[in-house]
Amino acid sequence: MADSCFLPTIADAMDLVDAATAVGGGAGAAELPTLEIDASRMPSIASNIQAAQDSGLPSVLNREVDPAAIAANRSAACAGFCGTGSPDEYPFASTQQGGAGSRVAGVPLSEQYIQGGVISQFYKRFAIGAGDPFRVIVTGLEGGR
Amino acid sequence: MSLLARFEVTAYYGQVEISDPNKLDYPQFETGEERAVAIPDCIAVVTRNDREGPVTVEVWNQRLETDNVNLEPVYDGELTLSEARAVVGNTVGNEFYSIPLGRGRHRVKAFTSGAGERPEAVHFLVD
Repeated sequence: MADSCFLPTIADAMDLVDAATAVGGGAGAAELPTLEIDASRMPSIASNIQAAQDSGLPSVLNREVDPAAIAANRSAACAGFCGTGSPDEYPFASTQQGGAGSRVAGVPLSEQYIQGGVISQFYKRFAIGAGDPFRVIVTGLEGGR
Repeated sequence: MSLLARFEVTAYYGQVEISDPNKLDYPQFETGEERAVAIPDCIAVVTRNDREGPVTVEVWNQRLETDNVNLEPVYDGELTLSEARAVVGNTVGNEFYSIPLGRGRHRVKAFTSGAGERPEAVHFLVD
């Protein structure tokens, strides 16, 4: 295997899933699968999501599975982006809440790769299908979230 | 045997995968600097992202033939399939294409081409 590849054991993978997802709290919160965005691993993305949620954008999202709708959301969200870095939006384009009005920030590509892995694993492990709700929380930001 | 399939995939978060369609897990990036990550039933390869255009994904069997293309090796390992097919695509975009392969373990090599660290194409060579 190439040196650049990371091949975790099953136990490692389970630990990562637990760390990324097994979060609850508050009435009803424990009933929803929860996607945790760890600021220690994705500081720019975590800051953008927290700012979006603080501005009133929802923390509970519903999965969008129509590829055309996802593409349309992504285009609408990023249409006005002219900053540096790779555009990252919240709510995610792969949710029904995505699209125009999303908060967009330029983030390092390395963070986007990490986030892509975390979201993909979350969608798979919790079998998040069309319209299924899930909660998004940010952890590890300075100021104690 | 040679080219089994060629698809164009929208690579959200700059990654495409080849995986067992029945398994519910996905490999994780530790630093974000990896070119590929893998678990036994899924291999994810870094590409250009969706805003830069679609990514061409080819799956080859036993022999890979590309003329005038500079291939960058990014993965050499195994993929285990629980049925006689794999899927290629992107989980976040919910875009997958089925590839007929034998059930069980396969040796898989992955290569990228085009645009350096923002590859435009991924080539999987499966035994």
